[in-house]
Amino acid sequence: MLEKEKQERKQGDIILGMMFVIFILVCNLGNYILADQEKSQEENRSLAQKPELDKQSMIRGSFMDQYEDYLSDQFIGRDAFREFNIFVKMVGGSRMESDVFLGEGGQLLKNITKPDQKMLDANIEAINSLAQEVVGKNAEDKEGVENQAAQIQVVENQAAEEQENDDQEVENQETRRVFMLLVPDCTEIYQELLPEFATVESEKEWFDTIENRISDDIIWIDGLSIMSKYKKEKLYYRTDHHWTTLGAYHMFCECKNILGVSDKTDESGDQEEASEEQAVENAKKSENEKQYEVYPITTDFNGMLSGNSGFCPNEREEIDVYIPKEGAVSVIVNYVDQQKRKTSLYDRYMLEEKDKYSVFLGGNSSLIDIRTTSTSEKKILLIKDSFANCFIPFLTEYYSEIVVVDPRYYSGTIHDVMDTYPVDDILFLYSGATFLNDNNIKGFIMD
Amino acid sequence: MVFSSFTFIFTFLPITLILYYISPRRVKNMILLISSLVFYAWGELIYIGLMVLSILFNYFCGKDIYLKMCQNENDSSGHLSVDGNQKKQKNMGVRISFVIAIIVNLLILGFFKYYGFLIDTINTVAKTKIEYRQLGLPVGISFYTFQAISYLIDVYRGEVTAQKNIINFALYIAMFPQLIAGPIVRYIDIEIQLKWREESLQKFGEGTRYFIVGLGKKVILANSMGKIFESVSQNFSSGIKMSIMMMWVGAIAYTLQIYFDFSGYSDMAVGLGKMFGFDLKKNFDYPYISKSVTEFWRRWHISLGTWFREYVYIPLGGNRVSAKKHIRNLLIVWMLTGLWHGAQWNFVIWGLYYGVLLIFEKYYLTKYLTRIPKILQHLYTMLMIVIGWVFFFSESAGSALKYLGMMVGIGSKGFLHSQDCFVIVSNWGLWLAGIICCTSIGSGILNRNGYEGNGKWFTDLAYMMLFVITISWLITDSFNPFLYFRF
Repeated sequence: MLEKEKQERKQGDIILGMMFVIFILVCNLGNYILADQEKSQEENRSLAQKPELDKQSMIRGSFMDQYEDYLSDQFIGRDAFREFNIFVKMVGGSRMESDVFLGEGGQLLKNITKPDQKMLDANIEAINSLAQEVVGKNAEDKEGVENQAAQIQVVENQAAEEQENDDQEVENQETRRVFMLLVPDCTEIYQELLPEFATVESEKEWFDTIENRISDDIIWIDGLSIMSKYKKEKLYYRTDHHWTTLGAYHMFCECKNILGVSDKTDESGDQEEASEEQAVENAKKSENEKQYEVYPITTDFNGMLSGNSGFCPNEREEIDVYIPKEGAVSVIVNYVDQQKRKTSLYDRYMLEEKDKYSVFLGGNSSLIDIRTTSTSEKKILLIKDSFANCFIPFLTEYYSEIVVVDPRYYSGTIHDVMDTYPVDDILFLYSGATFLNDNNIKGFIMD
Repeated sequence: MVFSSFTFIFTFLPITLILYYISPRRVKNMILLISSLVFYAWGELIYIGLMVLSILFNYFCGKDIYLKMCQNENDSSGHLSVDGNQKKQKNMGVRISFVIAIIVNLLILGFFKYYGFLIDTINTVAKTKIEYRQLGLPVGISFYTFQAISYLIDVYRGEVTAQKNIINFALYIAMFPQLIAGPIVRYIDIEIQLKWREESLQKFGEGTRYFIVGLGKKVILANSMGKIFESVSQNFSSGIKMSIMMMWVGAIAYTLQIYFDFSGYSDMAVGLGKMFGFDLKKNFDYPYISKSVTEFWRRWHISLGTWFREYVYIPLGGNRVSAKKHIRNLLIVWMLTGLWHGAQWNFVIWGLYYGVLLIFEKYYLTKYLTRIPKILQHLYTMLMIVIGWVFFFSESAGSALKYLGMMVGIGSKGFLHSQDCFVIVSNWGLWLAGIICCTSIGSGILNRNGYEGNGKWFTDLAYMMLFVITISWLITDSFNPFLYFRF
């Protein structure tokens, strides 16, 4: 090596050593000066806080782990580092981060994973038994009236009195019905947007399995076909796993007749007894008649798929709210567990958060009781995940009471809910991803 | 504590460096020792006592052996014995001290590392049901015990004098750069440096180069490869059938992961050593460019290979014995090498696999191997290495054979699926970087001087860029495994 080169090399070494030390010290200084953050908006999770030093946690080693998490979570410029990191990975070919695909045209798609068969079986079984209890009872009662012998048997039972009470109730009410609506995920509908060579589990196959396995007491709504029908429109957000209000709107219009609700203009007392043909006709009419005004309430939405994966951090989307052009009903929304009452289905403050989809009903709550000024007498219980949040506003005009339960957050059982809030119909409204992987449904239904 | 953590890079290292450089020469070793103990205690509070005991025990044993040898020598010189052989003959006292010291070291290692394995084996062979409580393996015990043994042997052989200063000796055993994942430093190589070494800004900068490169290898390449391997491995153990290609992708990902992980740690150790004025020997020398398995083991984990050669293979007679004995020696050494990596049968098989390969190459294959084109020599070597790693990462011999079977189509499903292409294509940057960094090309690009104008600036910025990218990786990915908990 030439003397000059040697000298240069030496200088280079010294400069690098200096830069290294300065970099570390500057980062430390920054970490020291900047206040710790409670929560990461970008990743939608709470960040680790400075751990308390005590003997126990030192010995168990948990202090060391917490301290490491703390340094990592509160590191200066964390979001910028993440963004930079994902950029580098994208350059290196990455099209999937944290189980989110970067699809064509910047559409983010959550990976569909194989559900746990046992859990799914248990959930279906629980739902079937619920339907048996709710719907089957109706059938039993009718039979009972026709069949003397059967009734005698029932009378002999200790439960006879209860049964009679129930009979009266049932007479007053209409027949209870249980609906099940699984909304396919974006990835299922727009599979062709997946990055090259990427494949996912078929949600359709699982939906078919579920449809076959649920009992006849349950009315299955084919969400997959409905969504496929409107595929050309923007049914899902590009940076979030939820469906857009437009997606929910189409779904609602298509299943109005199945749910047995129709426009107020056509409404009459015996509307529920209308034959199927009439219902279809009504629905057709209402589709033409019912009109909504669309209000964009934000154009600055960067969804959680983007937040989790780090892809497309600069993409901004619009969130719409649909308000009927005429005859909008008033609502009282009672967040039971939080003991809060509001007069709007929308929570404006959520628009300042990262997860702006929470504008609908303020995000996920365990139990919400919505009362409306609708002239309809009907009451419905929704057992749902977050997909329902932007669907519920469409229901308000057709039900006097909507009880909304999210089993993932609700600690009681369905019997607690139904005792407090007697309802006519039950609707299971889930996105495929949640339903296939949810382990709370069984516990919620069976004690 | 591990090097690839925020705690180490942003808290431990700066504090230690500052304390080390502001303190006067005579307490520098003390500072380094205390910080090493903190470093060890950070993850292994319970076993710090064991390490301190081991240090004290070996310190006194070394002294004891040395003193007895001095006495012995004085005695023999008093007798004016001229016979060389007789001079080498050590008296009984020295021998007993030495043997006891070695046995105690091996017993401690055996108790913590091989106890459960031994009983399991007895239970299987004798169909008994002896119960035992599995103790957690103290991190780095294999590394520091081997260092202690090398010290005792070197003293016993008269190659070094015993360390009088207990702080220096403790530092030799516990010095944090090489404490938990090697390299296994021989006392003979570091004896002088413990007492006298020179720190300089340039050396610090050189150390920074090593450290940044090592950290990058570990965090970017090894962890990312690890993720790929992990997904294949999970599917494999849950019985999902994968394509032939995917099985290869998994095995190759592991091949790259373990190299970048291990050599990354060694690079960081060398770099940190330099920051504190030490010169440690390199532990890996581009092992995956080897043209034979024999060459591979001259380039892979050099400090371990040296240790076994110096303290087991040569004492057994090495290759200066009959072919039969030579083969025996090789098999013993390689079985022990395997066992050193973990107390499981698959490691023993992995070791013996290499033993057999090396014997085969030595006695038969080499003359043919050198005649075939170089590219085929490389292919043969890599194939053997990848197969070796399958034994290494598998839970048992059975599952290794099953995995190998699926690599050639037995029990696998199809040759290539769309999803496999996705794994390959969407990681192309990673594969490319991995292959480049297995050779000296990467280092050549990074350290190239003679760019127009000022070469050093370009190189320095490239290094800092690499460091920033590595930190961004550390912030973003939580997957950061420590592979040597079984060593």
